[in-house]
Amino acid sequence: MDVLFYSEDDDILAELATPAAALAGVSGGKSCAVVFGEDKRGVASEVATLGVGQVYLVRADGLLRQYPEAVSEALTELVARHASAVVLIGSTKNGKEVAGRLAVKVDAAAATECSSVSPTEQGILIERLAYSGRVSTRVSLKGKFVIACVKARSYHRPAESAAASVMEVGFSPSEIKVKVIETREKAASAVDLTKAEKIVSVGRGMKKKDDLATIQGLADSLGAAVGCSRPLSADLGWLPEEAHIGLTGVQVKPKLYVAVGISGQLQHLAGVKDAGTIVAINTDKGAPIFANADYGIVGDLYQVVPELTRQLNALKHKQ
Amino acid sequence: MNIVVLVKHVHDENQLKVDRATGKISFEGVPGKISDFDRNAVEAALSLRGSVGGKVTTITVGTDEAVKALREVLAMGADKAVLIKDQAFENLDVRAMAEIISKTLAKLGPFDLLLCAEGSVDAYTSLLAPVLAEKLKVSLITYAESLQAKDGMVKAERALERRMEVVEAKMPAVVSVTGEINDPRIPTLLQIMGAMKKEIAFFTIQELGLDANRMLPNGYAILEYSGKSKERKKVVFEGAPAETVPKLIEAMAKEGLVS
Repeated sequence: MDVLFYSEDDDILAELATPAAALAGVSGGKSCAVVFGEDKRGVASEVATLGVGQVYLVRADGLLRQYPEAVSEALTELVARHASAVVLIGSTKNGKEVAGRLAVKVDAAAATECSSVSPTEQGILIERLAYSGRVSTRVSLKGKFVIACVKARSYHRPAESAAASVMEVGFSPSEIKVKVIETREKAASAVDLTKAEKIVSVGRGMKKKDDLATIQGLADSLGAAVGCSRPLSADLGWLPEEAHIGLTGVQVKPKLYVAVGISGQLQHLAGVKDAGTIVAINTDKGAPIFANADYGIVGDLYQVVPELTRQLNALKHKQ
Repeated sequence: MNIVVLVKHVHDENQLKVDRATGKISFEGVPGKISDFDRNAVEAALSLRGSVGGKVTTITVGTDEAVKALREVLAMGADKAVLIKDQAFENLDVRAMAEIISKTLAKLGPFDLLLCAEGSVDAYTSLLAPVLAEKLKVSLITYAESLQAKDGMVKAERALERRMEVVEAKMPAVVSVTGEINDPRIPTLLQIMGAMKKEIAFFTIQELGLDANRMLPNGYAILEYSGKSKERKKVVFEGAPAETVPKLIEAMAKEGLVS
């Protein structure tokens, strides 16, 4: 079975080369990267060195990349060149839309938010979470074509090897139904939480926006980035959406996660499942966060956080 | 304007019985609820109806239990509710689900807007909106964080990872909304009681002209549910910060997390 893989996110694209090679290797098929847009020639030649069999460079205006309609149409044309195929797509929001569209166009079973994709005798086996991250599921996907959207950082990008050939393919999309009339880049957050080694995260226990300085102080003493639970970004707007950790926000894998004033709803816990050590500070002894933490302090964050910051800083100065 | 909202009655994930060690999960006796962000889709439909007029119809596919979700949507203010009865298809392939919904839509007559949540609590695949739009060959806007409809056009802001997009499309359109789009209204007791009197239409798969046997097996099969998760140490310190903080720092130091 051949494998086609695509993501509009260049980092995820490189990561997908790993499962693509493994799936293609087992079935004696070919692993093919798909790069969309003439402005991505550099990305195409880079991914060509990641142990792939072939790179398709779709010759189209790079702006069309923001249209999942156009991307899914191009992928449909490329998939049709193969007798059967596994299509791996980066599980971004637009990636999931592309997957849903493609599933109809090529009549394929599709799964999103996969953390692993592997071949079995019964078909392609994927792992993903369900029920707000409470449950993990194993799903088998069967058919001539199957689609799996793979989450960022599920795989490491492979080591470089001899470059495969880049095949340029022409493409002109049919009518596009949805028009983008304005694009606003979100203010880039200072740190990418998905890559942070330590995170201090704050929730509803914090009473006003100005108190963020206290949390930042603790983060600084640990060399940590700052995140939050959904109410602080979505309801109160005290932190940008990029800082929202949870099911519908970012999922993080730090070595240390300090949850301050966070009660520990499932939707939040889904974002920190893979954290190394979880520390919780909360006034409510019965808060679910304590059952999902390694270490906890029951106490008022306004007393505990300054004391913790002070002692951590004192420790640093001693050395 | 004819607005259709899709909702789903799901097991309440907060009440699943999970054995962390063996991973065994019991769905038995777990109460259901309307999937969280479905309320946002309903609210979006009701507020559009408020500004441009029209009718709001809600559809769900599920067991008799799913009537509860429909009652809630009716209490919020929907005009009409339809339940597609299905006992067996707990884990239907999204293509089959879209088939059921498109047959239902054909029975109900033309729609201008079809709204749903960006994902449902149970599986959160986020695939239904794109699959339906592609199948129905209509416009699609996913992850809408605001929504307006006027003169046959729908306009929305899409919240993506690194950018916001303002997009516009012709109706009919399928739109999936995020939990940030609005604050869903909470029905009053009077509205809840009023909803008990509203009629709910029922259809079976057969009545939609579909053959239940031909819809299964499908290409998407859930082999296993597991509730196994990393067992945390759950060491909790209580007392004055002057006592608890040093204990925490010592524990963190042992883990090599502070130096």
